[in-house]
Amino acid sequence: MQSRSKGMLSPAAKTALSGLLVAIALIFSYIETLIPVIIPVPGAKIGLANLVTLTGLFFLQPAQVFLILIVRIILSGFMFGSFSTIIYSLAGGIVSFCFMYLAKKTKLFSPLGVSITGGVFHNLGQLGVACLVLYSFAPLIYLPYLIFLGAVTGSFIGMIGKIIEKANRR
Amino acid sequence: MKTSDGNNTIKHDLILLAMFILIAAILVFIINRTDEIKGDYVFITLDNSEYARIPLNKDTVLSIDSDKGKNTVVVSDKEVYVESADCPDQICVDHAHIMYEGETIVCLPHRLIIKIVSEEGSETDAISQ
Repeated sequence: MQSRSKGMLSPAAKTALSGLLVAIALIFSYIETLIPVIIPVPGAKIGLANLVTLTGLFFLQPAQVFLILIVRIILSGFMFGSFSTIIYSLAGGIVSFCFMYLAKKTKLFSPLGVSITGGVFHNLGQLGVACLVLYSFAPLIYLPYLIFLGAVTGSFIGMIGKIIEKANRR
Repeated sequence: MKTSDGNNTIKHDLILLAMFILIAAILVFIINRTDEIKGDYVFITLDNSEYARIPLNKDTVLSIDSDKGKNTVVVSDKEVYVESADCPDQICVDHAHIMYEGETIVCLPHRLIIKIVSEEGSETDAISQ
């Protein structure tokens, strides 16, 4: 993966790379199921798989990254989760993807800032679905904690993403 | 590659982080501000419809069974908590006891909402008070 620039990949290489990235993201999703949730707030997780989306946004076309994200969520939902996990993850994933893409487009932020945006909006997307499912605003009491946790976990992933981005750019 | 390195982006990242944490802190403050009024009833909603309405001054142990699972809700000493639940995350069980008007325990997997209300206004939502 040394000297690769946007759009220079052949269709076959692109497909192979997508498959590889889905596999990596799935492994991250699996590792995450092994980590117990310590904080008693629904939806709190580290978001390791977001590392793939994050770095993807910096090196691949958005459409490809989006596809990798959707495939990863559906597959990991079938393997480690349930139907409702898929719905929650899809909402979180799509909302966070859109805002990460926008944050990246502003060119104001490094992968760290983009990842923080992603972490926060992932949780907001999930909270939105929780409100729809329960048909109530009651889940919103978790809003401040989810914003805070999203920012913290996003920072963690963002720092790793920053290292990857730097290494891959050379 | 004009701006993706350099110190400017790091500065923006940190401003963004600080902003989100500030928003979270302000929201905690706003949500906790109304917590001072003692409630009169506990209002329980299961799967979007009313399940029970129990006065807080009557100590009760309530077993809530649904096709999604089971929760045991306890009213004791004008406080309400979930004693046990068969959901995987146990978030409702770990939640602190609730006693003030507007305080809520939510069990998302079982679609259960437990909320403290005052004499009137059992229909008001947590947000519209």
